[in-house]
Amino acid sequence: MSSPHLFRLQGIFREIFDQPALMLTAGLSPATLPEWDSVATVQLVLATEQTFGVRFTTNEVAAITCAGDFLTLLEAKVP
Amino acid sequence: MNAELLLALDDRALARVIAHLPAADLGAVLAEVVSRRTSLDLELVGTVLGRLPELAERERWLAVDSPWRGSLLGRWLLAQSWSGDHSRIPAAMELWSELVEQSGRYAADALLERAKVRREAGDVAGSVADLIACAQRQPGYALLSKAARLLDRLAAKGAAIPGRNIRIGIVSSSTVELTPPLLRLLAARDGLVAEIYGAPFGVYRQELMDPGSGLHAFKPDFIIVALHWRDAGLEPLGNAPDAADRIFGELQQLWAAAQRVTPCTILQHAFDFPPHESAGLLAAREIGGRAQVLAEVNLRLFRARMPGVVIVDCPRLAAQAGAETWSDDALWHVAKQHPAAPVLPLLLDRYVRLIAARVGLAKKVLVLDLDNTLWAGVVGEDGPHGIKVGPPTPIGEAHAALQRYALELKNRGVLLAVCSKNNDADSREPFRSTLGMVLKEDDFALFIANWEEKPANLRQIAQQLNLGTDSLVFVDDNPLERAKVRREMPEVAVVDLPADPAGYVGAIDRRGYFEALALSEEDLARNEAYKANASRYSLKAEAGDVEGFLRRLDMRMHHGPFNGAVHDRVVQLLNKTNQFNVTTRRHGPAEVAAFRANPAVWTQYFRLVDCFGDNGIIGLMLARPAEAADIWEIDTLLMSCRVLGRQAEEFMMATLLAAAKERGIARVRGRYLPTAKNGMVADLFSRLGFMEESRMADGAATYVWDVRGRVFPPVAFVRSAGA
Repeated sequence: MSSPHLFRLQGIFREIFDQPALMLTAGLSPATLPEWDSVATVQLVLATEQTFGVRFTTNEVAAITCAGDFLTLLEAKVP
Repeated sequence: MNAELLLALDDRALARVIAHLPAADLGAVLAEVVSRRTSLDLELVGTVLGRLPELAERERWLAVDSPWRGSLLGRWLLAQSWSGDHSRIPAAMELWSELVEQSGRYAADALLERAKVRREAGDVAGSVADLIACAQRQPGYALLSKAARLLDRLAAKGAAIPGRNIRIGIVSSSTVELTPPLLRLLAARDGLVAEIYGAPFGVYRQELMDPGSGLHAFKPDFIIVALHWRDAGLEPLGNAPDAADRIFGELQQLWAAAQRVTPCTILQHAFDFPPHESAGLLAAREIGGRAQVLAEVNLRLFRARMPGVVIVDCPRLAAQAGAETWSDDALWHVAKQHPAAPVLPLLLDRYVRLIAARVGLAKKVLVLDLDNTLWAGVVGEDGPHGIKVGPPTPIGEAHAALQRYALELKNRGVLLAVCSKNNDADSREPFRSTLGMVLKEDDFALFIANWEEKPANLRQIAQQLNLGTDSLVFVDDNPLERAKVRREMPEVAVVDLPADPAGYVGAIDRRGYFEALALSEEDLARNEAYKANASRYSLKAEAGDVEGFLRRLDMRMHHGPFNGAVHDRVVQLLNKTNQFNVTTRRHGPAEVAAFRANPAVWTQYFRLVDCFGDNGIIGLMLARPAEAADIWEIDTLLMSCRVLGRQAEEFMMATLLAAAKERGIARVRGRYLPTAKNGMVADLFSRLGFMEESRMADGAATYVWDVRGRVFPPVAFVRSAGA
């Protein structure tokens, strides 16, 4: 998986889950990362919006199920 | 690749170019750009860091003698790369420390990064200190929440956070998950170690009313009732004429029910207003309109002045943030979070300041620099007629606005002090001869202009006013002076003034340093009292001998049990007196009301009048039965330091012992509980003739006075003057 946003998004995940060695993959999800609960999703959304200067819509946030969803959204919103 | 062209791009555009470069070109581009870039942008940093693994000759660029050291951007990249490498942690630390000083608007980010490195290096206390310093720079939500999460992680591993312990329960109709970490960090920043209970969302009524709820089991010192407009349950139009009565009445019942179970202070949100209103202006204009009812409820909340209930002025905070920023519809639909994340620091800051005021940590002195702070220009060079203040210049108006704000603070009891690097004579001249000055020399409780270092002068100011250095707020346009004070005296609140003097008032006001819960007559008279004190001291010098001085003061003490007229001042003194206070027990308004109603508790206030005027209420005592009905324990004995050395404490003790005798009490016990600040009363009971009864390793001790066997010696220079 390669995306210009991967590295910075990985930084956000590492910080929120306090796992400095976490390797971000598209398939990373609440199923594979037990600490990823609904509060974490809100924190991830807020941090991603702020870091990349974007807004996610209500539908987009509700549909997030894995890290790949963040990358797809960022591809579409950040040039 | 044309380097000049790349350097001409703005940071964001350059970040995009670098993000999409073929790996083969990366080395050439970064070689040209990084060490020559003069700006710093963290998005650019993140993009470059993301591509570093692909960089050829990476080791050379990231070496200790890297050419990248020459630019801010380069230093940040190096510091960040080295931070992940155990062998380079000392080098990273050094670089972060430079960046804390150099990186301007990113100073708070640099502090957070240094906190992370310190944590890696095992320096937990240093890490905590950096996080607190980071919070002091007032970062936005994103950065603050990162620092808050890190602080929680350190605390979970047992890191000690300095400060006073408090317990806060939060009940709310919205999600509370985002609040506790931020609130813990902001509390730590202001000297409070907060343990927080967040009630499950939406069940605030049950939590408050039910004595068996998790909230009451937690035994909070403070309960925050975080409601907003939706909780009022109002329609845009046509609400019942008594809607405001009903809403206000329900809140009163909730408070009373909660405080019956847990004696605590309640922080109640005043209602904000819906960001969208289908009825438009009609909601405000029509009787029963939603905006009108909410405004009416809020007015009642403010006017109620219930003991033990503090109102959080959410409508004002919402106006300050802007209604569109305060409410985030998407965040409400997605996460039931209100208000919006970006305004949480503003709201939680207000909680912390109100709690600080309640536990006696409110700031008391505004310390002001002169040149380019109170006026534009340097009086030593430009002269009293060359500096600018007031009309006609806009810059002069901006400085006059700061003076006016300071004067308003002074008029409600905040002390003002000057701390300036200047000749004393030069610095006083504008107050005498410059047109447009708002402040006068005698508005200041202290005026210090010399060439000493500012930290030394700040200590001097605190000492002369008999206050701790942590009650000072320092305002200085010079970033170097601010940095020096920050480094040497982290307990002093340092205001980050913006470059434009028009922003000075906003910068001081935003943090609510001087937030007070109630206004007392003493507040209004305080400056007069301090000035009268100066006269008293000159009399002392004249009189030469202490006895002559005390006699000439002609002191009369008015005293009596706590009553409604002195209630606010009693609560205020109980909660802010730190030094002359043997037990430092913080009783809130509700508890004081309970003492007043309890005939077994003996309370007494003391108001001292002398030949220079009324000192106001300067002392409080509270005694209650201990293990037997004929043994009293002194729960509280406190006095204002400004009447030290005037036999006031002797008079107070004589009064208490006389009352004990009258009530048939056999023994009176005094207790000293040491704190960081009350060393001056460590030997008070011995000095007054009490016998030591027990002593603990930490310095706590108890003393007794045998009421039947002994008589307190008469107090020569203070006369009783009735209530």
